[in-house]
Amino acid sequence: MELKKYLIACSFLLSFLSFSQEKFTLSGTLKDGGSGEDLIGARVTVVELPGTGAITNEYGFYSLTLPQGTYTIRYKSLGFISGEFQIELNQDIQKNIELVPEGKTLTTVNVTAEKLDENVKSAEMGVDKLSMKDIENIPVLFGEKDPLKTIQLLPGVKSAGEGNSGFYVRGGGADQNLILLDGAPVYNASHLLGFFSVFNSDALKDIKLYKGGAPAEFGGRLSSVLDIKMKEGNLKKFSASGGIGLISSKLTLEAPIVKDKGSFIVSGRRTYADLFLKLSKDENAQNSILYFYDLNAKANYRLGDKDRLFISGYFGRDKFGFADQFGFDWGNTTATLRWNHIYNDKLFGNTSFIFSNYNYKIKFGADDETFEIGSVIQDFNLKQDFDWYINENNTVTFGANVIHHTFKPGQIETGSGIDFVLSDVPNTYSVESAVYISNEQKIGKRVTLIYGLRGSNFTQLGNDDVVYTFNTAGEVTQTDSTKLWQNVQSYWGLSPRFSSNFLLNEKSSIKAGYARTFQYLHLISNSTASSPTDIWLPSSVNIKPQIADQFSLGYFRNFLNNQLEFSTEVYYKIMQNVIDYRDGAEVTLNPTVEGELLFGRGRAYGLELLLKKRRGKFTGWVSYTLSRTEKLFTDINDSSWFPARQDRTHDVSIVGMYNINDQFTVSASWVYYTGNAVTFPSGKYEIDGQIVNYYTERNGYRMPDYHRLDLGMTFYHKKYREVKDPETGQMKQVPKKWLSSWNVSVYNAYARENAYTISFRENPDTGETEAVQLALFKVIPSITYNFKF
Amino acid sequence: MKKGFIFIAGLLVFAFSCEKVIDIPLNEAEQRIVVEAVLFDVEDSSFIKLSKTGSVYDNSDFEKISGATVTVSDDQGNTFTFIEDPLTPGLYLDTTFIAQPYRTYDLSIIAAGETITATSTTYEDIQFDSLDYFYQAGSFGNPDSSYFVFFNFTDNGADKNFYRAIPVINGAKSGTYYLTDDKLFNGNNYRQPFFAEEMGHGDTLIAYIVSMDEANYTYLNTLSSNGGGGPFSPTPSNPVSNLEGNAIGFFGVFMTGYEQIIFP
Repeated sequence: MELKKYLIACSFLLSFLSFSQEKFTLSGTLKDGGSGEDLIGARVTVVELPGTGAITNEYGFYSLTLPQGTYTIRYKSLGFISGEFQIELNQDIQKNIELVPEGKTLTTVNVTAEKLDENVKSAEMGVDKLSMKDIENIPVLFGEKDPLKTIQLLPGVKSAGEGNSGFYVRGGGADQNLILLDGAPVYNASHLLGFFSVFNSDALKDIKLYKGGAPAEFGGRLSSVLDIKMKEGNLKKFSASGGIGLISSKLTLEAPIVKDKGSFIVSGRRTYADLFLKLSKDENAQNSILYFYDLNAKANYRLGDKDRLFISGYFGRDKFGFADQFGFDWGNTTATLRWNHIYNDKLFGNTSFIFSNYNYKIKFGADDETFEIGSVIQDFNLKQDFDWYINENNTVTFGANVIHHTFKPGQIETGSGIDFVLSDVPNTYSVESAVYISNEQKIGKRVTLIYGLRGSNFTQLGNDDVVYTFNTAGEVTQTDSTKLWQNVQSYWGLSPRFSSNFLLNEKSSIKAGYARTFQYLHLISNSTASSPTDIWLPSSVNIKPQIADQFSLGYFRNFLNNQLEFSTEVYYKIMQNVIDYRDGAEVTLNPTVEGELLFGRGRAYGLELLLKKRRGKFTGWVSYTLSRTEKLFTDINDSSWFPARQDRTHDVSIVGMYNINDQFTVSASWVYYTGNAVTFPSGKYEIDGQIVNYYTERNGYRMPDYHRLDLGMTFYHKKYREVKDPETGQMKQVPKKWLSSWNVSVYNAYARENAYTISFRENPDTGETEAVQLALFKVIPSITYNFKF
Repeated sequence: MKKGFIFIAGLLVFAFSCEKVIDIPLNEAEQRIVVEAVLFDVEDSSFIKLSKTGSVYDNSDFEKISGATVTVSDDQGNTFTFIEDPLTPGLYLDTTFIAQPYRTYDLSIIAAGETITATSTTYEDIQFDSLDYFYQAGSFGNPDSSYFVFFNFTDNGADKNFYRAIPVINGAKSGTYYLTDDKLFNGNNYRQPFFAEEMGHGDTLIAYIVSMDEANYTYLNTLSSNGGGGPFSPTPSNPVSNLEGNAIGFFGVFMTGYEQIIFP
């Protein structure tokens, strides 16, 4: 049945080819004339043919196929001066365009420019894009600009907790988000227990979050795809930017390798809380370590008109250490080698080789009496993607990829002074592969469809060790020894994706979508906070892939000449094979951890509203989500549905930024959400000399409502010098080379004590049991100095 | 492992935090029978306590269950009757009971109209090889000077063993559970510090080592993580009991040994 649909879709596509004979193609790239960065989502239109146009892809490439003739081509991108040119199209023509940035916004070029009514006209649903400018101005904890915290202010996206960079999308778990940095998956996107994300916003170019039907290109996680692209580096001249903040400093350098042909960017960030420890009189404090750092680097080189090579990488680590008794460090490494090739004026291709590694290491003891536990996840990924601009009504994307996963859940090393031998937890190996095809088709002036299919396979390979099979009670029923590369268990997944847009008029549209997603890797974490020791487990003989089906429907409307965007979406999501744990499950260093898991079902539904003002002196948005997320497991809560931890009925975010003048911007954000579902005791008893809580229903209670106001203020030093023109005698403005700004922010401005945890314990004086609330951050002011030259 | 981690986390984050007592209305659970049946290989130390659960916000003087019939039998055909202590309601004793190694014991309780049964198995007797200690000067995050005590014992290679070490300092039993199985050191020496204890000059430490079966290990392990509420603790749930019948709690028959230190 699924295959048949696929064949119909293919023949449908091919039928469009025969019409394109006497047409010619105009293609090329659009770039920022100031820095040479590719312009994503810029618009190229044909004046003579209203409604005909193209939008540049993520590498700035566009392709327009038109009947022979003479045309006026107009190009525009938000934040740049629009332009047009005449062209006689009697052959295929390649035309690269550089756009000049608009006058005064020198420091804050909006790189995620797109056409103004994109949200109404595109068939994409459940997609949020964030500009770096939004991220720059929104106040955050400790003044650390953080894309993962800014996306939490969008409808349907919820914070994993106070100050936490983890997030939940439409009822999905924090591990159900595919976080990609230049295409490489980042397995643990948080620093310092989740209070900061690994993404240094200075090195980033573009952020896109797919909450609903992600394009068929993406797969492997149930709930969302967060696609983060790094900057490419200034192709024109050397430039540097940086910031000095309360807890970290950062520096970014960019320069051309060969002007207009190749460039690089290097960006680093390091926290320095530990430097204060050095000031301590205490020797152990001086020897303690506590910091994290990130390093992003990217280089690109144009090999000719048709080929471009990118190499990018990320390296970051957290390091903790206490005297010489205890050490703990973890981090991600990713590397992407990508080759863009324009096969012809209609076919754009991308070949990527991607590496990703996450590992942690814990070391106890000193001298030769040491004990080290380590864990590694490592991916090698080969990916081929094509964009095929068949004609003005059809754009096909297709491709394939193969990932080899290695999991080393527990590697143990002991020093020579420890006289017993410890065995490692066996490694596991698997291969995840996929092929996909998708078409964006315009039918008439009103209808746009995106339909695609992704087929995936996940194969658990032998590990040259034993593979256990468990029964439903978690007992080992079978122990098989396996050889390397032996096929142990294979799963297939067919994910149809569909989204559609029906334009009601120029200003409003209705969209509908459906997507099925598969997740083959599962994060095993039974605590609330993000912990570096949370482990990932691949699907196996015992763990089936998680599957989600999501249906969504939306209404989009723009007001006031596209200044104001309104959208509302409803969704219903069904999840299968979601994971929870047996009571008292041991998840670390347990070779039979798969026996500790329980499998159940989930359902999530909700309504999202967003009103956004994108242009003008005042920008910002109001978002509201009404939702419910529930789970069902045979062995939990007497086999009845219970609310998931991330089930929050109401979730409101209000974000406002006001540009008072060229030098002064103020911003504020306010969030409110229903408290998480939690398990509180309904009784207590005495055993083993202590008072113990007695629980009845899972997640049957609520944390108190959460709300918080953050305020921010950015003061820019003058961007221009006033100079008297020696010829005319008039004053004129000359741009300064050194641009700088001060950013002051206050987190939790009205000092709301939001409950981080609530524990029930005996008051040692009165002997009575009390509910004790722990609130993490009251008013946290911070200040950052940023510069650029 | 988690301790050090939480400590460092705490250092950074909880510097800004604040605690307060709040009012949270809670449901009233139906009262359950609580069984704490703890038998040792030492004369006059085994006991079985029967009580009931109470309300969270009430005082912790729980209702005791008197008049129950409590018997323990072993796989050699011996039966022991535990009699309620006339001075302490809900406490059932058989002062002659001494647990033997490698036996299976059955518990049977008839109380408040319910029949509760359970089984527990013993393994080889266990003793510490030694306790040793050093004096640790106060440090960053742990400002008090303290004796840091390690316990050492040797595992029996033939069995799958489960252990608990219990430090009692000046007569007060520690609230920290030092539990381990022999998965990582089967048949070898094992050495671990009492990392959460603080002991000073002149203090007396009596440390017990207890060997138990897997069900009791699971019970104590799940009991120790039951507290919940913390950011690093799992969703709170009731400990996994080895009792059959309408009751909560556990039945354990333990082999024990102990060592004592009086610090200079």
